[in-house]
Amino acid sequence: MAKPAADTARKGHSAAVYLIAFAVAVTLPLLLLVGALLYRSVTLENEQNKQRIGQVLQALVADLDRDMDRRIAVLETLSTSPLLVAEDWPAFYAQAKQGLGSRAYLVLVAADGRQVINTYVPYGEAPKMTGDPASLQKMKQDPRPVISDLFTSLVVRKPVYNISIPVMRGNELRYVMSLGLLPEDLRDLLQGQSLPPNWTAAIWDGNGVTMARTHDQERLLGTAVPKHLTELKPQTVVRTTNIDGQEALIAVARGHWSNWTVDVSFPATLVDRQLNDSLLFWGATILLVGGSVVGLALLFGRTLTRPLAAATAAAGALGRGEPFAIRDSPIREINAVNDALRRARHDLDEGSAALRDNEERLRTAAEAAQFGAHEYDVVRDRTHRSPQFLKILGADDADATATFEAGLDFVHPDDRDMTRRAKQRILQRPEDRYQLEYRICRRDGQIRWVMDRGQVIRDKAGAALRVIGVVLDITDIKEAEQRQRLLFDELNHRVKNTLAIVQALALQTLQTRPKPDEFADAFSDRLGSLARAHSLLTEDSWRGASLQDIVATALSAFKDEGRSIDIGGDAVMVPAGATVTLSLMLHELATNAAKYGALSVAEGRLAVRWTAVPSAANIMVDLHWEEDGGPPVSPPTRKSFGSRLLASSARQLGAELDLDFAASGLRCRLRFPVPRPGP
Amino acid sequence: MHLAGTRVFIVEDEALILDTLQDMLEALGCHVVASAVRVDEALTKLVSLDFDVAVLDVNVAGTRIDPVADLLAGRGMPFLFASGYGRGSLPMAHRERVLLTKPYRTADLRAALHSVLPQ
Repeated sequence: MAKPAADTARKGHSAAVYLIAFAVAVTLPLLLLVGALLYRSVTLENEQNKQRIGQVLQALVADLDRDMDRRIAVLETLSTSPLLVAEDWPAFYAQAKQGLGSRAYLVLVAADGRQVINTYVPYGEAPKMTGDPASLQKMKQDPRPVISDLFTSLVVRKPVYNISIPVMRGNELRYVMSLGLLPEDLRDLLQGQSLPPNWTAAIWDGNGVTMARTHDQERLLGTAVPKHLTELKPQTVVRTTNIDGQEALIAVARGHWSNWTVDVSFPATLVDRQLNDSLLFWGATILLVGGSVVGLALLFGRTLTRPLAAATAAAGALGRGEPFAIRDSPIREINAVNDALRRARHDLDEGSAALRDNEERLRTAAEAAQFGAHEYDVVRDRTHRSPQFLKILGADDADATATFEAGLDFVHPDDRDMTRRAKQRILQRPEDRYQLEYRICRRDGQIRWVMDRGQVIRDKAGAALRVIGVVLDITDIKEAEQRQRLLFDELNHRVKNTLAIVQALALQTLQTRPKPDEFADAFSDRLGSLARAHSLLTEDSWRGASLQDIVATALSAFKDEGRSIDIGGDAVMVPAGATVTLSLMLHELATNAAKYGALSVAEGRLAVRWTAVPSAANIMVDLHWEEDGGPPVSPPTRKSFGSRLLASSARQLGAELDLDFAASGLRCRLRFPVPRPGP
Repeated sequence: MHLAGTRVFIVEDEALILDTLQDMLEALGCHVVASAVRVDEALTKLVSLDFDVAVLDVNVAGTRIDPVADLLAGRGMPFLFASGYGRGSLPMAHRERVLLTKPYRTADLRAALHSVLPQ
């Protein structure tokens, strides 16, 4: 069996990876959405800030304009005073001083620049010339209210600004009436907007000199603002460095009356901090969500992968037939797998127990039957032999496997080609079963016969895949078969030989007894004698018979009639062929005695005695047939069947035959050799 | 009857059969010049014996007839077998010789003799 690739276990990714991917897929859009929302809120905030800057700027400008309108209105009201028209300066001074209060002062300058009234100082102490000649010059060209830039007042000795209107007499500028104002008023105006903390509003004059600020008024009053700020486009929020060189969002606007610039700014660090905070928050969210998602995925992945790994290990153990233990899991599907594994183990255990029992029975049966088994794998050209087969072959475990050709090594060389051809034919022919018989040469040199029966297992296309067979040592059967065949051959021969003897008996009897009834009697007698000799031989499996038995059987009929017959001699075995011949001879002698000799009368006596003397080559038997008390004997006149048979039979036995027709009774001496009994 | 006067040599151990064969041959007009009941006896007699045809038993008192058959074949003498065994028992070199299966009739014997004797 091909070993499954170990790489498969490394293929694919852990369930935790998929869980992480799933979590990331789910949370990533959420995190992106949060990011987008955060970004949107930051940009919205930014937008709102910008809008707010614009609004604040507009409000400031409007406030400034309104303030100036009011101041101009005050000035215009004063300019219509009859006291001014009447040029009653002390009264006008008093009126003005009273009307303006402490935060502002009135300066009236004649067209030639000479100060007429200055309410900052007591009447009559006004400086000679104006401190704000620029406003006078402007008004001379265009008689309209003028808002001055910051200048240092001659009387206040501090930076101040003027709001001035022309006082006309006809088309001629007569006086310039100015309201002297301290920048603190502007600061108050700026601060009156109650800006959020960190916001800064500032005003600088047409020369780019700071007039008022919500913060650091004292420090920066009268200082010039950086040039890039003066060049800013109005009503546009830009990000640039402020007066302190810090990044800020800044917008500027110009008022209706003055060429002053109002500036509102707030530090970019605020915006940046918001952005940074949002980014920080977003990053923290990502880290937190991502971390917890991955952590949870790993955790869940472990609850998933751990029992899976346990199930995998259990499945491996199941495959190897080793024990395993698996715990219940919180996951239903894995419990189903575990259950399936336990069931499989249970079934396998039962199955393998049954299989073991079966195998045991089969092996016992095969051993009892002395069957050797073999299995030939056609594809790999490999034969596997069972231990019992190896026992039959007299081989050891080294021969447990072999190729097709090497498997034939045990076959007897004479049978090898036949067996090889037969086995090759088995693989190709359509039948699936086969039976062969051949000889094998065992390792110990013994030659044994085996029967090899088996079956070919094929694939669907009919190609042979395996051959499974059993081998049985049939040497004993084969030898028995051979013995039996020999026995049959021998039997066939003996029957034919006996028939030939019967034929000879018939032909010989016919020559001396041509009359049918006489022939029948004589032939039957001789057949009977032959039959009794055969019976004797059959008793000892045709190995032969004892001489005692041969003689007793030949004479049994006469002994039964009560004749005096004396039989006796040494114990000696006569071989089969000689037994028949000797029986027929004794039968002829007895027949003759019954007709003409001692057995024909009641007082006749017969003695058959013998000795058996062993010599180097064989045993010499010396048998004496002696008749007494019968009628007088005379030699036969013609050669009878009996005498011819005796002569030729003696020759057959290699015997010396002496016949003595003595008057007292026939004497017959027969000396013949029999083989010494085998060991 | 041209078998008349044919001189025959017999090797046969069974006395009765030997006698009967002898009678049959004489009935056919043959002359049995000699017979042997053992192989060694046959080989001894063959040295100086003059005859026309031999009738041989195959298993002679436990000894195979092979040396006798070989000797006769070597001399180019005609002979036939008379045996109770089948053809498979004949000497390998003489498997194709005429075989008279026991028991046989006189007519069988005559035909067998005719088939081995030169015409």
